[in-house]
Amino acid sequence: MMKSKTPKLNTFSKNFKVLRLVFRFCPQLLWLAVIYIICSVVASILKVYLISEAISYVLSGGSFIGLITKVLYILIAEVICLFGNVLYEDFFEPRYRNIYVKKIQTHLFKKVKEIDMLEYDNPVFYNKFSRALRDSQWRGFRVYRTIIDFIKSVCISLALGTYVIISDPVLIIVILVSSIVGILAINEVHKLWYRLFKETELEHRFSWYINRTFYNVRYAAELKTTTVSDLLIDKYKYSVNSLEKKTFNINKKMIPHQVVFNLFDRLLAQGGTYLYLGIRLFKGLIEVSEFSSSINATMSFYNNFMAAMTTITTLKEHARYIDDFLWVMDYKPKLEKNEGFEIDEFKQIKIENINFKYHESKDYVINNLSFELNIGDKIAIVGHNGSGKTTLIKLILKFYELQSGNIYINDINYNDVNPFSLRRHMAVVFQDYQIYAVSIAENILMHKVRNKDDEEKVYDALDKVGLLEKVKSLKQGIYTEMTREFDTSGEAFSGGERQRIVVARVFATNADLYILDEPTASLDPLAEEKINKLILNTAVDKTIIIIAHRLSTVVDTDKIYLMKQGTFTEIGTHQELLELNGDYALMFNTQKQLYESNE
Amino acid sequence: MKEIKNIFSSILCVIKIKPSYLVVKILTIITSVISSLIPVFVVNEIVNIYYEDKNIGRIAILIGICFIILAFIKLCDFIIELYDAHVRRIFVAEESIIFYKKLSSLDYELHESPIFLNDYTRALEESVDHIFSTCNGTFNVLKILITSIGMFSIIATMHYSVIIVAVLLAIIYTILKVLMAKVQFKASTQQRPFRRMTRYNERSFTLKESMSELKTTEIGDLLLEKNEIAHNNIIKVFDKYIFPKTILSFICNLLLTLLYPLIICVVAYFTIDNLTEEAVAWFASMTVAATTLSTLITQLARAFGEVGQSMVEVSVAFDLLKMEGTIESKKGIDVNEFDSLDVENISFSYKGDINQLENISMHIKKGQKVAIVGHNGAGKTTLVKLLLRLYDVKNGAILYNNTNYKDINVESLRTEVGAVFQNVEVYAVSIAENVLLRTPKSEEDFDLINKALKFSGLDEYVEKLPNGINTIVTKEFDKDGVVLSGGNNQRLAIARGYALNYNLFILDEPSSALDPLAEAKVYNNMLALGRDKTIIFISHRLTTTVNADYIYLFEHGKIIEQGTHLELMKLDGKYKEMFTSQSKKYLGGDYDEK
Repeated sequence: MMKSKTPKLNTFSKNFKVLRLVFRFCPQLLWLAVIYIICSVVASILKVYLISEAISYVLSGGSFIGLITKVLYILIAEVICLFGNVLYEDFFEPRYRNIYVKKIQTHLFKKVKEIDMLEYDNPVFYNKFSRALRDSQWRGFRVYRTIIDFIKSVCISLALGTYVIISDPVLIIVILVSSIVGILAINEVHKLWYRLFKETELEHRFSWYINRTFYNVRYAAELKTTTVSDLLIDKYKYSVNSLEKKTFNINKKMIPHQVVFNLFDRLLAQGGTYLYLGIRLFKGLIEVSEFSSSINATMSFYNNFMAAMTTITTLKEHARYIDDFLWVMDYKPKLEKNEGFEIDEFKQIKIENINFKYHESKDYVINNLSFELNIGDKIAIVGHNGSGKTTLIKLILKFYELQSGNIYINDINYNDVNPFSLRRHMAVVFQDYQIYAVSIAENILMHKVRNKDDEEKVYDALDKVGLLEKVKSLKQGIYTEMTREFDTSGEAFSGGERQRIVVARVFATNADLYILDEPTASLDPLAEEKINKLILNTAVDKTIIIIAHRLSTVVDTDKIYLMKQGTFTEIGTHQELLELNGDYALMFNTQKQLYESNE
Repeated sequence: MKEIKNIFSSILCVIKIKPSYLVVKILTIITSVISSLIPVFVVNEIVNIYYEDKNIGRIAILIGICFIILAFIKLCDFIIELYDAHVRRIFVAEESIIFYKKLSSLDYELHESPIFLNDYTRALEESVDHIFSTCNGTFNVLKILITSIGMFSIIATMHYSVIIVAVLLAIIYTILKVLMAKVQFKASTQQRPFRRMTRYNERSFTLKESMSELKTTEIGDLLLEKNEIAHNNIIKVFDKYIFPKTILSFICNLLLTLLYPLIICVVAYFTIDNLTEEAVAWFASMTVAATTLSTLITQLARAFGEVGQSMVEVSVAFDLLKMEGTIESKKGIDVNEFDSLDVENISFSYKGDINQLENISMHIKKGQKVAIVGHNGAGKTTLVKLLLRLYDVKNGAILYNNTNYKDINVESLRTEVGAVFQNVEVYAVSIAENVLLRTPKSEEDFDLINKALKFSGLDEYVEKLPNGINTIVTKEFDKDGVVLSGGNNQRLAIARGYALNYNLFILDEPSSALDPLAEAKVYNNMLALGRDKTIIFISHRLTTTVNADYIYLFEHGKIIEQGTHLELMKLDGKYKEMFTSQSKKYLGGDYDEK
């Protein structure tokens, strides 16, 4: 994790780094912003100029027609600038904001694919990452906006400042001195706000969590049938109280700084200007007309100057989030790189003495494991929860880096293999599979239907898993949406049907190696038997790894590997393992007992 | 009209919880009026004194006093702001709790209706904020209006014609802004479905569970493509409305820019041939007034816009508060200890759907262990929901100790009848609280928790944790928290069911993520609960059925076979077919031959 060092310098460089990114995605914004700033500066100068011209003209006793012509010229120039401003603010900027969000999303979502799998297993990483991902989509444009505002106010203050200096240099000193002291005071207040934000982050997140829980349908049944709603409300109240206490304590500390700020802001800056100009007026050094236009110019200058200073605070606020933003953007994967040997075909996977453990844990999940898988093999890996079956699969997919040992595909070391090319030869049904809000065909192909061949593949796969009839009976057939999220004519599938769709995915690929991580967990018995047979019979020429803890699934496989504490302890056919009378036999008999009556 | 009512309801809502809010808002109005009038007043006075006696001492005192007042008022503003934020937080907290309780008191049906899911959920998550914003926005409009009136009246003492110009401009400006808001509303309505799509994609890309598939298949590219199309559509809608929007905005800005020159011209027209000292003085203060005025008009339009928006959105919140649950209203008689449950010929369908359950009759006596089996989608889970009275049956009746469900207080019913659901949810509280679903208070509570953990087989895992049963579940709020695996989640839910000590205990496929040994252990523990407990196992695996006292086989919402295991095997029907297909690989060959 990054730590902020010298905050001021970092704040700017961080913000500008993000600004560069915005310009990279939307280069046109650069010159549009320049024109916008020029228009704004000219417009605000003209405004001040118009006022002083008009006042002096009227007070010097000019004619009404003369006034109108004088005002008109300036006004026309101002309107032209105004038109530029409106065009930018209402047309270009919101349009490019949309474009930017589109481009950054595409960029970030592509990035998601490249993040190493191991990171996702670390909840701290995952929480930070998902927060950063959500924030990053609009942070960039906000930074852009703030910086443009900052530059705009600085330019305007410079221009107005020059105007004020020309008419009276002392005035500038009065304003600068009082505003600097004021800014120092207000900076302390901002620091306290930041502290408060940091200290109460947990409470805020907890409120969101409670809100989420109560409005989510997943929890509705339990909230209604148990006392958990009272428990959560109690916790919420507790968290609210602690938030109030912390807020009150820090708010108290802000008040003295605020007093200093207000005194300098109002009494010295504003009152001082009035007094100074009043004295000059009385001494006959300036005319009434100059008096009122000077007040107007000076106050405009002061307001812009303060606005520029406040944007610095906003920039600092951005900087807090930019760390995470840049962290996501600059993330360099260890494994998920599109480089290395391309794999043309699958012949063999050889695993030699591998060891693997997760992040902080002491225990190895995979312990000194070796085995060989050749083309055409149909094997099963069985074992208890937590014995390392799923981890092994993830290692075969090159999701994780090994602590020691080697995996070879066709005698090429995994370290040198392009992971994406490798995975194209494998079709996997994961335990936590997802169904996407796209059409049935797309959910099976996992890409668009590109041609007739693709359609054929979908029909074929659906036929194999026994869903063809149902899908054909739907009005839009394989093009029916699989959820009702975006299409009310979408079809809601039951749990078992959804799982069959996922199995159909495997049949629709050209992969040589099928990996099925408990594919039948939520299927009903008849369907389970059918799918098992199907996978083993249909895919005669394929290499298959089935993971199961329900042993009836695997009795027909060529070879069964029993996994215990991260390594294979028993290997053989069903019959051989039963005869061995070891852990496998024990597992099998326990499951068998479940089907035997006590009586 | 409804919107106006919502405004008043919102204000009432806030004041009911924090009456001091009203005082604070009146104070803000006063400070706002004073702080915007002072500069105008001071300039006017300076010029007046200039023409009277040019006494520097007098204006120094005047400026000193005025700006100390101003500094003080600004400080008050700051403190009021802090208090305002405090009120907001307290209001949000208390009103949220009212909403949470309201939501729990509504019928379950509501949560599953697509209208509620699509239109309400999002709005509700922010509804309490909208109520506050509506209330606050209304006061804000009021504040700006009163300040403007103050400003106008100062100007009016100087010259009435200026008022006409200013008011006229303000009205035109506001009308234009309303027109703009309407265009904007149309645009965002058309963009909404696409925005929803991009949110869905965002979710897919941040969901941990979709990572494996993202990495091994092309689904990521497909979703990205759909995402870009959605974004392009958002831009297309934006482009469609941009022309009227830009024009309107230009006119609005033009009016603001013209405000000052126009005022000057109007004043000049009347005074240019007749420049008195008085005219000069207010000419000077007009410089300040015009700037303040244009700021006020801009603020007013923005405040109107904000109220207008939250005014519309807040209606969802009040709709919800008006809803009443028929089942969850908790009226009816309290029940005694469980003795019998009779399901008499019930039918049920979700709104507008075909019947999910048809003519179901079941009879369960105290102490029985009943298994309900059948395919996915046979209607088993719907039955659970009916037994918990999350829904009411359409035809027929469910009788608890011979009392109709419809006459029973649900709260009392659910202390006797409870379930472990198929999809297990855990909460970001401690393991002990996750089991008990309330804060443990006594030694007995802790005993119960430990017993429950032992019962479900989670005890070994919990003992290894440094904080034991006080460990927080999930790492969201505590870095020492634990993230439970799927199997352990289910164990936790089973422990919960045990601790809640239901007399009729329903288990809706609670063991799908457990390995066979663990599953066997849980089932044996269940059966050992003794004669007092009545248990309904719901499963599509037939491991629970062999030792069950009675079995109901569901298909397409109907009971097609029922009886004990032996009876059903003898029947040689669907049950036997299912059982054989599952068990033959364990038992070898045909069951009968064994």
